[in-house]
Amino acid sequence: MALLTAENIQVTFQTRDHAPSHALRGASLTIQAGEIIAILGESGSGKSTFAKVLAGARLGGAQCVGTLRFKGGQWGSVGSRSSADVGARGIAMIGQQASLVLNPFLRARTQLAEFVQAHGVTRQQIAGRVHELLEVVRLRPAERYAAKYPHQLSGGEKQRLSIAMALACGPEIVVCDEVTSSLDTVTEAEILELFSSLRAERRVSVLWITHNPLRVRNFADRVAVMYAGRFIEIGPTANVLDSPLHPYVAELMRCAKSGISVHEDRKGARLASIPGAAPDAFESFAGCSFAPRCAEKRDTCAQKAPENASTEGRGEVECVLYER
Amino acid sequence: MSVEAAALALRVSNLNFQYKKRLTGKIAGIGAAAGLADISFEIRAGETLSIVGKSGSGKSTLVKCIVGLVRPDSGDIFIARMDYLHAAGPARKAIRRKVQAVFQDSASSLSPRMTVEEIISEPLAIHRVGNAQSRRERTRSVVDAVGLPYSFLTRRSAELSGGQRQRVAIARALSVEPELLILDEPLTALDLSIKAQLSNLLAELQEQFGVAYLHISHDLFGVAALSDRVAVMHGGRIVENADRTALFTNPVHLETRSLLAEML
Repeated sequence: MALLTAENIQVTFQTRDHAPSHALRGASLTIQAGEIIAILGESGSGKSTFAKVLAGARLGGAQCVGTLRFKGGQWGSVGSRSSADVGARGIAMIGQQASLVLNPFLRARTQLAEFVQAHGVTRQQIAGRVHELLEVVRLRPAERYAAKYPHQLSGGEKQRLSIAMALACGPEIVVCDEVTSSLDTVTEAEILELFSSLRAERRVSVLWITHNPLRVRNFADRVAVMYAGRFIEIGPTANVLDSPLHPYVAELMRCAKSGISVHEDRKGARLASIPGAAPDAFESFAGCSFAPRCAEKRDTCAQKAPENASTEGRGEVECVLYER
Repeated sequence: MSVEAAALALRVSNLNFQYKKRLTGKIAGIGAAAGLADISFEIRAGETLSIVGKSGSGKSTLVKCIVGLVRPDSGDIFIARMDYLHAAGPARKAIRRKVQAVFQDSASSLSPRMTVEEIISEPLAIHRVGNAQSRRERTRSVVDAVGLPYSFLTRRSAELSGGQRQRVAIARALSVEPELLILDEPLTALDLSIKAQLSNLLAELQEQFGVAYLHISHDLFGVAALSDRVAVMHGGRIVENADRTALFTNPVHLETRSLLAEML
């Protein structure tokens, strides 16, 4: 069942000195109940703006276009107060730096209690609910962690506490924006494990935003790849990672794999790379955003934007090579 | 191999350093910075040694010793065959010219007030190389070498992308013809597709100029392609130092295996 549908989301920031900045240029994505979907994209591709739109955050002064449907009901316009209200109930967001959301002067239990209280729990129930949340994020023994201040926690423990805060509202979707990017890989693996079990136990959907394609295998059900403010390929994880459709995704995976492969010959083997750089948000273009870097571009690519094409069982792709 | 090619660009022997209590006390428990314990290694001209290790393993402390920001408690550092730790005044400055560095965060290591031309030619001015005319020519030739157009010379760093800024940082480092380039996580902050571009550029520049690289990284991405040898640091020590192929195919130390496991 489609839990959340985002259709053709466009977000444009007006700037004083520059041309308008197009953070999202028509991003569409459907999230199923109980699904883990990874959003993969390089910096500036629009990942974080998309996360903020879903979480109902106010995008100060931005022009927002598009439709959001949560459990069938329409949200009204994107970036408005009504969408913020719906978001507050069903969708929670977690960011990269837990230390930014934790108050250094408050013990874990006090911080958590604030969130629990905000979501209509009676005074008598607070302590029990705090204890339960600490257990859910595996901060055990909960009594001991409840009394700790943020500076007494490791990076991974701080992130677990911020996850507990996000879960306080009983969300159906958790949007995770580069949650493990500043953690070492062992701690990262533990956090991924935690989200896998949250999904299994509570049927929470997870929208996992990351720039690293090598870390989503065996975790995400589907991968959606973002480029210049649009999703250019969406499909089952193994398909996207191992047999991608879009030329950009294919090149990106070659980059990722060549960086970790060891050539037997002498050093100096060159890594696979993509020439040029992604268009920045100020650029406007008529055709395909990847055309200037694409090795397989056709004559029409620079003029005409590709249409979304569905391929049987392998997902969706926006590339002229797959149009019928 | 000629005598020239076998020349040592860097020799570090028995380097020891302990952070003083006053500094470590406060940060103890949240990954206190490791000191250095008996660090020894060599890098020949035109060769790359990658030093990999997790955060807190002592990589940054080692870099600080080699660029002269931290004075080791004991040991020797020879840069371009000259005794760096016991040199002073003009002799020390002459050695400093032979070692240049490129850092992870180009946004904060390049001055936002200066143009690209000023940024790249500044080391030439500091080391009083040539005259204004020859500095201009040298600046243009390194800008060429890192693959940037001359139109960038008048821009400021904020107008550049992360990959372009890192190219500027490399051009600046190469301007004074160093024998050793310290690459402190030069690819970490870049996007995947740009990482590969920069890694390839570094490989080309080494072939072209014969400069030695001391490459520091916390993971093994791109390390195989760039390195002759790889040293693994853990707790302020080098726990394994091996030929690249040997290290990747037959890792001995537990820490090396754990870093390799993370790659996949």
